[in-house]
Amino acid sequence: MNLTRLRAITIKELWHITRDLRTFLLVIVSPPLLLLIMSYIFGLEVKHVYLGVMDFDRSALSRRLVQEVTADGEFTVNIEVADYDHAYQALRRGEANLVLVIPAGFASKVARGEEVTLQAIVDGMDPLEAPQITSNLEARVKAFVESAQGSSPNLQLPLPSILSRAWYNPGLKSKNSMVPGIMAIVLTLPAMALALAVAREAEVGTFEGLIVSPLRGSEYLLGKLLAYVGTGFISAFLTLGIAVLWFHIPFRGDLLSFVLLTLDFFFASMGVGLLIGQTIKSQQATMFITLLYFIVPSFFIAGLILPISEESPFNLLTSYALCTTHFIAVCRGLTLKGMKLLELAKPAISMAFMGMVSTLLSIITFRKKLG
Amino acid sequence: MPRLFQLVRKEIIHFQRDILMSFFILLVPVAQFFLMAHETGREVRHLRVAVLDWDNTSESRCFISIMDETERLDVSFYPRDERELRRLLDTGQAVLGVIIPKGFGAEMCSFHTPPPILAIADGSNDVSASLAFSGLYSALEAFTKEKVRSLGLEYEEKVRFEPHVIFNPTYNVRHFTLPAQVGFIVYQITLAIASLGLARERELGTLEQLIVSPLPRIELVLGKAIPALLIGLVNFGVLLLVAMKVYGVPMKGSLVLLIGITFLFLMAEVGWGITISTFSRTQQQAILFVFLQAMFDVALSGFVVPVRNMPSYLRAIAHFIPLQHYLNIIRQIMLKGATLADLWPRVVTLIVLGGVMLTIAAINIGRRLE
Repeated sequence: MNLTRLRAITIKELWHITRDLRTFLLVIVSPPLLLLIMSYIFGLEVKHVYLGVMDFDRSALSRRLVQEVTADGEFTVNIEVADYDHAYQALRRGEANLVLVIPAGFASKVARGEEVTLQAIVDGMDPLEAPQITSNLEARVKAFVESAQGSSPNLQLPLPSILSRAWYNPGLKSKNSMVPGIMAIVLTLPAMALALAVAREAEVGTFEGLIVSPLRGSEYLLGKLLAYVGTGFISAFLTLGIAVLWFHIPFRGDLLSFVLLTLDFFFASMGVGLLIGQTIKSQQATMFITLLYFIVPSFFIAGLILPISEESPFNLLTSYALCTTHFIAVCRGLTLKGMKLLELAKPAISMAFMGMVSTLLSIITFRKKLG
Repeated sequence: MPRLFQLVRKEIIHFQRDILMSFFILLVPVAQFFLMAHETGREVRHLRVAVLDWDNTSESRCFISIMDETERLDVSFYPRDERELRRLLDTGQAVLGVIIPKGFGAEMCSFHTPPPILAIADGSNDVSASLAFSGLYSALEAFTKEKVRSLGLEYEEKVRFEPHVIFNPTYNVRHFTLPAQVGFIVYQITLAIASLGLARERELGTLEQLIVSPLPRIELVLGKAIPALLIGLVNFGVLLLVAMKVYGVPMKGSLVLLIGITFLFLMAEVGWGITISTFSRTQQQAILFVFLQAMFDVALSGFVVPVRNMPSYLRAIAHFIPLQHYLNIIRQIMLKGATLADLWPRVVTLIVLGGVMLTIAAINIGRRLE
């Protein structure tokens, strides 16, 4: 490997990136910008449920029930319905997520201490939310009725209780989970830009000039890698800055570990990017494939929102084959858990392995040919 | 008009010649769909729990086995002390740590309130932690009912709450996520092709020849728009078929209505895609613009986070995103059997947004093709 040639290629690539202001902004500015935007969208989730009320009792107690249930703003009464047809229509139109049915005689039964049954018609379309809001409403309704009835008959029973704590993120704030997770995902953008650059050279024809030069495949690929890793780091620090300074995410790890592990991640992601760009010589196709590998699955199987499914070896394999899965664990580990470099050995080694394999494959399959 | 037909034919020949591109346009969406369907069709199960049982009575063991029997939790670790428990949580091997205090069983048997069970969750993923906690609470409720009954006492229920679930009563995750995925994939491919078409011709230099030809600008735009629309519709048909036949997603509403609305939606996206291509000088820029646009759209579309859970200013912005309306519509038609009478506000919004986007595209084409 000739270092002079390697240096020349690296500088040429850096030139390419910085020369066009639009590309420069997109590669360096878009990760932190995306982090900002996406964190607001994903991290500020406030539970908001549209409640429909079908009140057959129309008593002071039933009105108080509705008031109590909607007191803290999580449930809001969006619509009042008079009959079941009306209720079904409201649910179909999304005007209500569930309809609470208060039977006639509700107030009198409660006053007499008799058993009372309340019904709820639930829009079950969202299978993650619907059970949660149903049990939430159930708890609120029961709490209200029990307090209205006076003493709970169950007070004499030995009821066990739970004292719960959430480590690393005491309020279980979604912001603290999402920002480091999204940070990991947006830092795949430099790798995507690299893949597109490689594909572009092949498609547009500037690759010809490189073929006739004495440039070796390894120098060409490594030069590109170095240039994009370098600019990637600027992006990484900007992104981390936004996470810590704007969103006030704690950073309990150390900066050196962050630098080393980000380098590891860039190695993995850009190695794959190189391989993709080189194998698929069209820009449009490269875009699809990089999106399919880096971005889309990262929202579903990388452990960003739902935990990684370990049910079948196929699931495990597809999750761990993504470099974002490991980097999400790294980012959360460094920011929230204060993990040391050695504790993060598992994701670190996985990423290094991916980087090595993909870079090696790129070098081996590199051909100084057209088409 | 026959000129337009020739233009569309030319585009189709381009695709036929470029085998790789034809391959990607039809097969990648289907492959992506299968992949996403597989990935998102699962329940959250077997969250790993580490239990430290200081009590070691039949009561504590009963509780542990009830926890293990729930689908959601899996008692996987029995650490020897708190340090080991901490290590399991630190490294992420366990999501939840449960410490049962000494005296738990004894107090219960003598009808006293037992000391509380300590539950510690790994908060680095707030969703897993919440799910683990709620699993723990339901396990405790089941344990309590059983124990109380076995002690000969009555657990009285003065209030009964009967939920009656309509639309997806089995809480089938696939029925909920797949229609949105169909919409998302179709959106993605149509936007990409519409935006890259012009940018590619400009970059490769073939656009000049089209400009100097006697073709009016609008026909040029339509010549690019119609193939993108056709590809989108074909993909839509294929994916819908797969969703319904392979995964059993119901179609409770009118298929014709859905296809019609899909057409309107794709027109809007094609218009926007063409506008993006007029703003980019190279394919790479078009790609990156589309990508940023897609991320923004997906985030605000309700694909991952429901729109009603967003702060009000974001909800307001979400109104302007056609994808958001479309995902809502496709779910409502397929799962709820919604009709035009139910959906007309969103349909009108789609038509308006589409009209605006196509107009912007037409205006910009006139200015930017120079």
